[in-house]
Amino acid sequence: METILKVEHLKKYFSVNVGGPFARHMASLKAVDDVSFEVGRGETVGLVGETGCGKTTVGRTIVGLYAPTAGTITYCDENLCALSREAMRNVRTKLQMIFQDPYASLDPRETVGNIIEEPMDIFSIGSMAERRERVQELLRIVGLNPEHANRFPHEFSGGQRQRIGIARALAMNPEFIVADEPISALDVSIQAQIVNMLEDLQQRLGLTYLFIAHDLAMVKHISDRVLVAYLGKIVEIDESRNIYKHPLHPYTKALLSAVPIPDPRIERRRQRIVLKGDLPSPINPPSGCRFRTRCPIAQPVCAEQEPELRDMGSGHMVACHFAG
Amino acid sequence: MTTKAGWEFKEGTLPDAGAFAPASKNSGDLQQIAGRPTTYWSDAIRRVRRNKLAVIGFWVIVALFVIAIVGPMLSPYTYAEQDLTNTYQSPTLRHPFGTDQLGRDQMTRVLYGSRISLAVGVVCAALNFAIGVTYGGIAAYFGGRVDNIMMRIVDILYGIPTLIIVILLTVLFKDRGVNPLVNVFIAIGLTYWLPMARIVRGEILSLKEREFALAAKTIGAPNNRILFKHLIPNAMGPIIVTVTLEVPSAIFTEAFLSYIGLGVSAPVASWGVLASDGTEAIRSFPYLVVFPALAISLTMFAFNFLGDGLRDALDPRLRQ
Repeated sequence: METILKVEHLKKYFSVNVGGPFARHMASLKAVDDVSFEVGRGETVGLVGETGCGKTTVGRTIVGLYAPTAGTITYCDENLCALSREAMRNVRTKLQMIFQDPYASLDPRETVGNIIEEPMDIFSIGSMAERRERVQELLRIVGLNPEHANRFPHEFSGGQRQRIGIARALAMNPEFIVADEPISALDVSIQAQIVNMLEDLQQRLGLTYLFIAHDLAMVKHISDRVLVAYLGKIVEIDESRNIYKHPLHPYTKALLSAVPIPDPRIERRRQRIVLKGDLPSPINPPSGCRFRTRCPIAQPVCAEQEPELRDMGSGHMVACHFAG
Repeated sequence: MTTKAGWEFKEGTLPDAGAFAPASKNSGDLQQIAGRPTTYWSDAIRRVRRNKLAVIGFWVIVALFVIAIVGPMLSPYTYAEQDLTNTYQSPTLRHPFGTDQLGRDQMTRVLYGSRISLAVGVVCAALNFAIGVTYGGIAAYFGGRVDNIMMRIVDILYGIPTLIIVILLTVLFKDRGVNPLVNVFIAIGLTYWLPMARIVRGEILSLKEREFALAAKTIGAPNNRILFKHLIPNAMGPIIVTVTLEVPSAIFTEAFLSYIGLGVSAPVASWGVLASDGTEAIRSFPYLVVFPALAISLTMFAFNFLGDGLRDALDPRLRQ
């Protein structure tokens, strides 16, 4: 499979003031700390992890909302971090994003038609009539009534708004879409509609997705491969068929044990792995393995040496000294 | 899109519920929006209309503008025309507001004064938009060091009292043939955009983190487009409210400056000058101060009522 996106040693630190209101003491919050992965064309890669693990930051850095602190992002053999502003703007049209909150991601003062048309307007594509035509077409693609182009976002439901957001992302014929928790703000029934539509669009338009989520069941359904992130690091990568059956990293195991199973008999019998403690601060992460403070199998070596991602066979990567 | 089985109701799986039988699914019906399209502004106007005081305030302001433009044209007198045989006349049909110590028709002078007051108001509003909104918007959007420097400048200007600026300008422009009204305009220009810059900055700081601003960035929108097309229009509610509350304050400042003799000077009449002249004879001829004072109060009330009404109508937290 051809690699469409390659992220190498990506780091994104935010500087924050930890000295209180009167003292100035800057520290760096390591939202993403040395993350590498690849995405193949036409593939759906799921990125999971709990709140604050840096998954949204990874997505936003890829589409260029944040400038990376270090590392490279290569998209179709072009290093995005080295591109000029103008070149970056053009590449961006191929890299689009679907946002989490459909209530916040649409400008409340613009009509739906204008929202969807805006990318074409910015890049001066087509005449006014052609653009209007394309807006109608896009609305039809995402299953909305084209007559509603002159309506405002607040007149639509959450699921419909998310469709509008998707139509806007599709306007420039992108190849790669970062879906940043596109369904977590929606009802379960609407979630299924949106996910099915995303799958449908992927087949019709040949899209590649980076699907960021914390709902493991949904990620399993949509993803070909899954990346598990913990505190700014990737701890495990595997095909989604396999990772749900044979997780190797203790964090992945704990995550999977928390997924509810819709069968009370199994649910009653099975054991949950409950992690102790809270997520450590990304400003001052634990030494060595970041997960060691909450890990049930931590050993002294974990505090000293940071485990690298190592291949456990057939692309199953895991960052743990004792995995297996 | 094609729906997949598994999440939708299947016909016949529900018990026969008579009147509660599920309606058959018609994809056309599902997509209909029944209501007429409503925009933010039509919604806001509807809410302002329910506030009687705000509506009265609005019409009073409209009336003031009409009177200021048309009034002096219809008057048989001019603001500087003296009639020394008719000084200190009480209000009569010929002089509804009476005449002053030089026999000038007080009503014509009050009408003319409204032109100056409203000109001050218009200049203040224009500067608020031109400088305050842009300045605050740029400071907030670019953030960091830009924001720090720009807002410290605002803080410094804030620290200088308007009175001192006017006195300095008066000294500076003295005997140079500069219309004293220009001093007032410059003073108001230097100080009255400051609260607006702060309010807009606060609004834009929160708006720029909203996902629609990020979305505009991902589709390749340049900075000025994001700022002026997406962020500032969304801050329009607080901006309008600030303007309607700033304008009366600027009008009052002009009246106050003229009252203490730093604004426009004779024979030009502004409400402040009229009130000041009137106070000299307040014991014998109270109507000379009453009418300009009434005009000032009426304008203050009208703008403040409208401003309060707009704030209630445009504040999303108070939406009904």
